[in-house]
Formats: sequence, C-alpha cells, structure tokens
Amino acid sequence: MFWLITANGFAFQWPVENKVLTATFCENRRNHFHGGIDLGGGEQEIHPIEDGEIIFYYDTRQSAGAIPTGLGNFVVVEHPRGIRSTYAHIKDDTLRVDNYLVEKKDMLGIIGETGASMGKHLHFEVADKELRQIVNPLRLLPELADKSSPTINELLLIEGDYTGQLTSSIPLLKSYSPKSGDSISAGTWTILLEVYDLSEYVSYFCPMSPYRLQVYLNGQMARSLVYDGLGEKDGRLEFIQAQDVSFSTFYLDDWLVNVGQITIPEGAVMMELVASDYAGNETSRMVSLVATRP
Amino acid sequence: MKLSIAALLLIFVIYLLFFPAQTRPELTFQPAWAVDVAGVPASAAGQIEHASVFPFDLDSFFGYISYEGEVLLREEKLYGVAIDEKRYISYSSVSGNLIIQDRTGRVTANVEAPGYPVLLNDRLFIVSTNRAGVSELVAGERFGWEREYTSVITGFDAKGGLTAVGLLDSRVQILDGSGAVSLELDMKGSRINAVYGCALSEDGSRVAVVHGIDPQYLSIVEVAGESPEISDYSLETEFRTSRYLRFFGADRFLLIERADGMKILDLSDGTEYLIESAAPFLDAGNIQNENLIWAVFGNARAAELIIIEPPQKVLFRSGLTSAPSAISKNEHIMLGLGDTLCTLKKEIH
Repeated sequence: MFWLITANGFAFQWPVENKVLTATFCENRRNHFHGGIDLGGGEQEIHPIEDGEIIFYYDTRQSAGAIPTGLGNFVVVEHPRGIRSTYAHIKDDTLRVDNYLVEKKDMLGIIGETGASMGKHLHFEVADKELRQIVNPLRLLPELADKSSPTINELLLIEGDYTGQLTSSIPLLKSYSPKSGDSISAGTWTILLEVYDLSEYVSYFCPMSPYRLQVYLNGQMARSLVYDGLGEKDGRLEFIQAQDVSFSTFYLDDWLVNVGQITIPEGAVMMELVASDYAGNETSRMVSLVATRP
Repeated sequence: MKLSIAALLLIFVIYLLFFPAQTRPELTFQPAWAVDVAGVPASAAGQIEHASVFPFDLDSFFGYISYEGEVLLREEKLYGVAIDEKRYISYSSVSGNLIIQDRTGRVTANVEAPGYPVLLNDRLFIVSTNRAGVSELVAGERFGWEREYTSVITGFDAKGGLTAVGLLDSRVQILDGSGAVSLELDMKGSRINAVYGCALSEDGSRVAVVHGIDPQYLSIVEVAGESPEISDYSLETEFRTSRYLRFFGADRFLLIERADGMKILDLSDGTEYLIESAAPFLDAGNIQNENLIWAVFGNARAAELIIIEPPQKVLFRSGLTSAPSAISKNEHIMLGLGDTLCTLKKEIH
C-alpha cells in the first residue's frame, strides 16, 4: 500500500492494491453527480483508507427495510477528524463486519458488482461529517501517475447568462462555436465546454471528469471550477468552491458542461480555456476574438 | 350419602345449564390455501376485476393473487419491484427509466428516473441509486420535488402528508407535501452520532428516531410546534444497519427491531415488552380492523410467524420452512415462502 501525508495532515492509503481508476468525482450520473471514484482491477481485497470504526453496513442478503439501494453491499467507516469513507458494490458473502474497529490492514470485503453496477468495481466515497460535505477522494489519496492530458472536444458560447436545465436542447440551438478572428458582442457570455479526461488504466474508451476548468481573458483568470467537493444548499448538491453550480445547471450532456459566465470587454480579447487533471496535466484551447459594443 | 352426592351433581349440572360459564372465544389462524406461484402459468393481463387482491413479491416472481388463491397476474422479477394494490414498477439494477403499470399490467407511465421506486401509503418516491437523494413522483409521472444529500439515507417513512428522511450524518428531515423542510433535527448525544431509522406516527404528529452508537437511543419527537418535545429511551442492543421501527395501535405502541426479536413500547406509560425470536426480524404489520400485530422472522436456519395482541400477548406462533415475506389485508394474512404463497385466515371458536 502507498501512504501519504496530505496537505491536510491526514494519512490515507488507497483502499485497493491494484489501482485501476475508471471513474472520477462529479461525473454525470444522469440525475446526480458521481459522488466518489470507481476502482476496477478485478476481484481484490478492500481495505479502509485509515484506521477507523465501522458505523454502518448494508448486506443485501440480510438487511430488511424499505430503502432500496444501488450501492449493493456497502460499508461506512468513520475515521478520526470526522472523515467517513464508504465502500460499495462489495461481493456477496465477503462483507466483513465481525469487528467494528478496523485497521488499515483489515479486509472490509472483496470487489464485486452488487447493486447498480455494470461490472466489478469498488465505488469509493469520502465525506466530512462535520462540514457536511462530500470530499473528492482523489484530493486525499496518494497521487496516481498519469501522463495523458484532458481532452477538450468543443467550446461553445451562449450570449447572456444561461443557467438552463439538463437535457434541454435550447442552449445548443442558441450556442455559437467561436473561431479565432471572429467578431462578437462585448458583454456577458456563458461558456459551455465538452471536456473529459481519458483513463490511462484501461484499454477501452473510458472518459472521466477532469479536476479543474479555468477560463482566462487576456491572461487574467475570469472563471475557475475545481472539483474539490460538494455541499448541500436548499436540497441540492453544489460545488463547494463555486456556489450555484448544481448538477442540473452544470451538465447539459454526458460531457458538455456549463463552466459559467464571463464578461468580455470591448476590443481584442484572447480567451484561453484550460482543463487540468489530478496529476497536473493540462490541455488548453485559445481563441482570439474582437469584441464590439452590442 | 350417595344420594346427596348425586343430588349435588344434579344441582351443579342444572346450574351450568342455566348459568353457563362465560368463556372467552378463542382466536386462531387457520391455513386457507397454498399456491406454488412458479408452477402456475402467468395469467393474461387485464383479468383483474377483483376488489380484494393481495400484491405479492416473492423470490422470483411478483404479481397479484385473489383472496381465494387465484393468481391474477404473475411476472418474473428483474432486480426489484415496488408494488401495492393499485400499481407496480418492476426495475433492473441499472435502468434509467421506470415503467409504471397498473395491476392489470397496463402501462400508465414511463418516467426517466435513474433510481429505485418506493411505494409508501399511496405515494411514489424515487430513491437515487446512490441512496443519497429522494424525489416524489406526483400524478404518477412527473417529479413533484427532489432533494439531494451529502449522506446516505438510513431511514425513510411517509405518513399524514409528511415524509421523514433519516441520514447517517445524524440529521432527520421532516418534509411537507412540497418537499420543503418543515423540521430538521440533529440527533446528538452519543459517541458516534448517526441515524439508524425513523418512523412517522399515523397522524404525522410524531417521529421516532433510532440514533447514535454508545449509546444508541430511541427518541420520539413531537413534530408539530415551535420547540419539539423529545422523549429519549436508551436501547440495549446497538444496530449498525438500518433498524425497523413503526407505530401501531392508533400510535399508542411503537415496534422496534432487536437482534433477538422485537420490542414493543407502550407509549402511554413507557412500558417496554420484549418478544423474543430465534431468527432475525424481517417485517411486521397490523391486521386491519383488529388490534393485532403480525411479525415475521427468518434466516437460513430458522423462521417463524408471530401474531401478537399488543402489548405482549402472543396469540399465534408458528415455525416456517424458510424466511417469509408477509402482507395482511382485512382479516387475512398472506405469507410468501420461496415462490409459494399461502394464507392464514382468522377464525374465532
């Protein structure tokens, strides 16, 4: 196991030995953000990321009750400092809950595909119960080597402040794909970006969310979205770093996201879009525009 | 001497004839019929005209059966099914659409809703696949409201127009009919604070919550009013799974799952009664129009059905061949054992 003392001073290990990352935090799950990461690598032991105590478990073969779950067999471990980690889709009959106090070396179960699963994998989540936030696990776990950069497929602009709903076709009809040298109106524009990060760990096409999206205008940062965590506001989960960015306002398609609004000043404008992954790899797209008074 | 004894006996017999002993009628539950659903051909849709049907949900099949034991609709299960007397939704583990069908099998709605349906007191909820979100479908097909959480949902109930959502992060939210939070409780006081179950009273005036580790508490909270009144009871056994609890008997009794059976709490005076079983608790319900509670227990080693007159009088206790599912309607109780259905009917002798 790899160890790390993170910037927060916590020491966490990866929950599995063979770390095949197949999904990252905040991906589009049709009606909600993916609240954790997915780890493939076949059937292998699952270990707690830190010493802790099992505070909740669900065994699909034993647990009665009226709450259905797509997590399959799962277990929640509480660690010091209010961190809670969740391990889901555990293989039937392998869930180990005989001792509630667990150490890093202890096995919680074997990777399986119970619940809403398209194949054997561990769905892993981290929450901060004191702050009542879902934390991006990849910000806490030791860094994974990664040489590939995110992909920016499309950049679209919509004039004005657009905060449409998921599955709406209106923004695509209204949207405009800018080319260098184009002349546009100065003022508020909404930026849509089709962006993903390909997994290095599998041979098939496996797009994942990047870690950070940034927009620069003439070298100055105009907008930044960081996939650090999610918090609740009025019954919706929002990016903790960017208020009012919820699932329904963020995703317009599988990988088409609403990055937010920028104000384009009059004159020559160099717009740069930068997408970064967890290893710091970056992809950028630059467009030079001439903004005129509307 | 012999004459006097005979005379005394005669007097006694005459007394009994004119003044019979007032014995209490004996209540029993007799098997009425049993049907192996797997061996019955699936009935054609549209045949259900019976007013009195049981919805059933077995190991491999679900559907409707009449009180007389005629299988009216039978379908194979995919991953799960939500079913009540009016409608059903059969769903797969990763489906993005929910097809709502009435009890004849007719499709009444097809809703894009990546989650699992829960039918509760004639309301249709969707619990998101990550068990951290809930929404309600109104008029059968459109979302009335949705809520997302940063924590796993560990308790859920709906009564009296209200919805109670218990969360592992120690919160309980009481939602009104529009999904707005009418009351939020933060259940503290234990070494580990978390909610393990919640139940609303029939009239929606109280919510019972199991919460915490070291110790685990049962708290009963008055939902109405500006400052909720809370009664706490310490629980002997700790659960680290969702724990069943439910109000019964016009909200006078509260049934709580235990590792060794169940407990019935008489809320009128706080007295607790233990009903023991060798098998784990599975489910419970009340027999309509009777002040009776049925409960089923079971695992691979043992299973049984118990019928209780609350708070603690066991009227009926029967071992079963496998872990059962059960449902009751009017004076009937229907048991599901594997893919077999059987009923017990109340009789008074």
